[in-house]
Amino acid sequence: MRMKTLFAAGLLAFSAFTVQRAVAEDITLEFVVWNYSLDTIQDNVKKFEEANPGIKVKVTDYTWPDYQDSLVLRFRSGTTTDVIYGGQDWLPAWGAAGFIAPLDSVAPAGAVEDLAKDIAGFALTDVTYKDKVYGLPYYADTISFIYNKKILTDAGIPVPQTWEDVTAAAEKLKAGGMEHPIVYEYNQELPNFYDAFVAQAYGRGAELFDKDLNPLFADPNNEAYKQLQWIADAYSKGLVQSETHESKIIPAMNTGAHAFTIVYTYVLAALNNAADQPRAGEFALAPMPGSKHSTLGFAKSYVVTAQAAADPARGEAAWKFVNFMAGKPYTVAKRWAVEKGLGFGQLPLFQDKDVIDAWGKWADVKALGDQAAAAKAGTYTEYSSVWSAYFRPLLAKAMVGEASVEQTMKDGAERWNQLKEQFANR
Amino acid sequence: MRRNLNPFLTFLFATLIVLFAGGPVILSAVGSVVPDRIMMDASKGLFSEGLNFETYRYVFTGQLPDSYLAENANRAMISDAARQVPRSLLNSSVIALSSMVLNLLLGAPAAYVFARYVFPAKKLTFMFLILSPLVPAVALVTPIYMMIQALGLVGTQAGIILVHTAKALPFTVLILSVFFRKMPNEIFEAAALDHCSRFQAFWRIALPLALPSVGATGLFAFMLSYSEYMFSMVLSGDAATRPVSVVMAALARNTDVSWSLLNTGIFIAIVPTLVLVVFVWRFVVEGLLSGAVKG
Repeated sequence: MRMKTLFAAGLLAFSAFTVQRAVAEDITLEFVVWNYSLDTIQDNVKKFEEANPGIKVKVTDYTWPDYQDSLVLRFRSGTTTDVIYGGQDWLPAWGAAGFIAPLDSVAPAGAVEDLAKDIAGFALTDVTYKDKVYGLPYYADTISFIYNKKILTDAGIPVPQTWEDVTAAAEKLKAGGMEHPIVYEYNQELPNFYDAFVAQAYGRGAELFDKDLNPLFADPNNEAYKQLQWIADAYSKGLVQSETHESKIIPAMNTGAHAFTIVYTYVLAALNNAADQPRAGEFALAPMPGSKHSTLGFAKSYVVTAQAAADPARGEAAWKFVNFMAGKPYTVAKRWAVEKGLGFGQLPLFQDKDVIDAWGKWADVKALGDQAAAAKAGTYTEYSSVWSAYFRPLLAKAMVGEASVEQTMKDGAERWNQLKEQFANR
Repeated sequence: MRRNLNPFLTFLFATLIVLFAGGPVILSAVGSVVPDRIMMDASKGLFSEGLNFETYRYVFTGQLPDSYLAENANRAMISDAARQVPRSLLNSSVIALSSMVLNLLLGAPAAYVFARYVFPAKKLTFMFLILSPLVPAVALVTPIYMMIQALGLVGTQAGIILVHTAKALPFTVLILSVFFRKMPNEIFEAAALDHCSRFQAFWRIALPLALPSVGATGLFAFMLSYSEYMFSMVLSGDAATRPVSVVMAALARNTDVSWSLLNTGIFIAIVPTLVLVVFVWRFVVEGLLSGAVKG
C-alpha cells in the first residue's frame, strides 16, 4: 500500500513536472528585420505576444545596406531564423536557394488565397515566385515624381506631363536663377538607383524585357533607352544635382533650391512634415511623366523561412505571426500607414478613413491611389540582383556622360543574357 | 640647432589643422542645437530662435521635440534609432574595455615568450600572427560568423569581444615583443641567479618595466574595438548588444532622422572619444614610441 502511494505520488510529481515543462517551453520565433522604426516593430510584437500566449518573438535587426548579406550569412550558417523581412528583388534567389517557404506550406488551406485577393497587383507579383505566394506585404510603395508646388506656381509653370515638359520647366527655372532644378538620388550602390530609372521608363510605357525574359532595352526605340538618354542630356545641360541618398534629398528639396525629384513615395511624407521641414506643404506628387504615367511599384514582405516551415509547430507559430502583422483586419499595415506614412499592398486600406485623414496631411490620397493602380512590378529573377549590381555602375556612368547610352544598354543586355544562360544551365 | 619658424605660416597651418580636425565636431555641435526648419531656411539666422536642446532631451528621455507636437506635424516621423545612442555608448565601452583586458592578458605573455625564448616554429608562428591582419577583414566575415555561431555567441557581447580581441592581438604582440626584446639580458640573468622562475621574471621584472607600453597597447586595442564596424554589425543582434559604430551607421541612413537629430547622435558619440583623446593620447603615443625606439 505504501509502495503504491509512493508510486502514485511519484507519477503525480512527474506529470506536474512534464506539464510545467510544456508550459515553460514557449516557442520563441526569431524575427529578422532591417532597423527602420524598431520601437513600432517591438510594440507590434508585444501586441502579438499578448494575443498569442505561448509564442514569443525575438527581434534581430540589421542596417538596411547590410541586411541581405547578413541574412544570407544567417541562412548559410544555420542561425535560427523564422520570419524575415523580404524584398522583391531578393525573393526569387532566396526561393531558388530553398531559404524560404511558400506561405501555403504553413497556412491553413485557403487562407493565403483569401488574403491575396486584397493585395495590389504589383505587390502580389513581388511576393510571388514560381506561382507560389511567399510573403504578405509589410509595406508596398511606388516611386514618385515629386515637385514643389510653390516654385512652379510662382514661375507660372504647369505640372509637367512628359519628360520633355520636365526639361522645358527645368530650363525655364535655370534661366530664372535656380542652378539645379532637379535633385537626383545618384548612388550606384543602392538597388533603388536602378528602380528609380525603371520607374521613369515605365512613365514612358517602357517594357524592359519580353515575356521570355529577353532584354529589350538596348533598342534605341525602347522607352528605357530614351529615358537614359534623357537623364544624360539633363545632366549635360547642368539641370541636375546629385545627392547620394534620399535622406539628403529631403533637406535639399527643403532649401528651395530644387523643384523636382524622383524618390520613393514615403519621402513625400518626410518632405511635408511640418515638425522639421521649413517648406512642409509645398511638395506634391504628379503622375510619372510620360505617355503612360505608369511607375514602378514594389513590396517588402513578411516571409517565413524554410527552416521554420520544416518544424510544424514553429511553422504554425510563424504563420500566426505573419497573419497578425499583414493579415486582416490589416491593423498593423494600417498603423505603419497612419503613423509612419508607409505605403501598403492591402487595397482596402485606401478606403480607410484613418488612413485618408493621416495621409491627407502630406499627400493627395486619390492621386496616390491612382498611382498605385497604374504601377507595375519590376522584373525579378534569381539573377536579377547580380545583374543589377553589374548594371548600376554602367547606368551611373552613362548618366553623367562618362559612357555612351548605346554601349551601356548593349553591355547591360549582354550581361543579362549571360546570366540567364548560366542560371538556366545550373 | 633650433630654427626660427615663420609665425604667420605656423598660425596658418595650425588653423588649417584645427579646422580640419575640429570642423566636423563644431559643425555637429552647432547642427545639434539648431532645428532643421531654421537651418534650411535661408531667411532666418542660424541662432534666431536661440539654442535648442530638444533633440538631446528626446535622445535621453524620449520626450518629443515641441515642433513634433504642432498641428500638421507627423509625431511618429522621428527616428527611435537615435535613442539607442546612450545605450550603445555603454555597450561599446564594455566591449572595448573587455577586448583591451583580454588583449593584455593574452598578448603580454605571448609577446614576452616570443621576445625572450627560443622554441620550435617560433619564427613561423610569429610571422603567421603578425601577417594575419593583412587578410582583408571582409573575407573573414563568413568563417568567423560561423565559428561564433557554432559557439552560440551570435547576438551577444561576448562574441564581439572575442573577435575584437583576435583582431587586435597581432598588434599587441608585435608592439610588446619589440619592447621586451630590447630589455637588457643582464636583468634577467640577475633574476635567474636570484632563483626567479620564468613566470616571476615576466611578472616581477619585465611587466613593470614595460608598463607604459602595456598601457599604450591596451588603449590602442580599446580604440580598435571602439571604432570597429563590420563584425559588430554582423554579430550584434539587437539594441542590447549593439555598439555605437553600428547605431551611427543606422542613424546616417534612415530617412526619419532629421539633421539636428543626426548631429545630436554624432555629438553624443564623439564626446567620450574626445575625452579619451584629450586625456590619454599623449600617453599612447609616448608609450608606443618608447616601445619602438628604446634601446
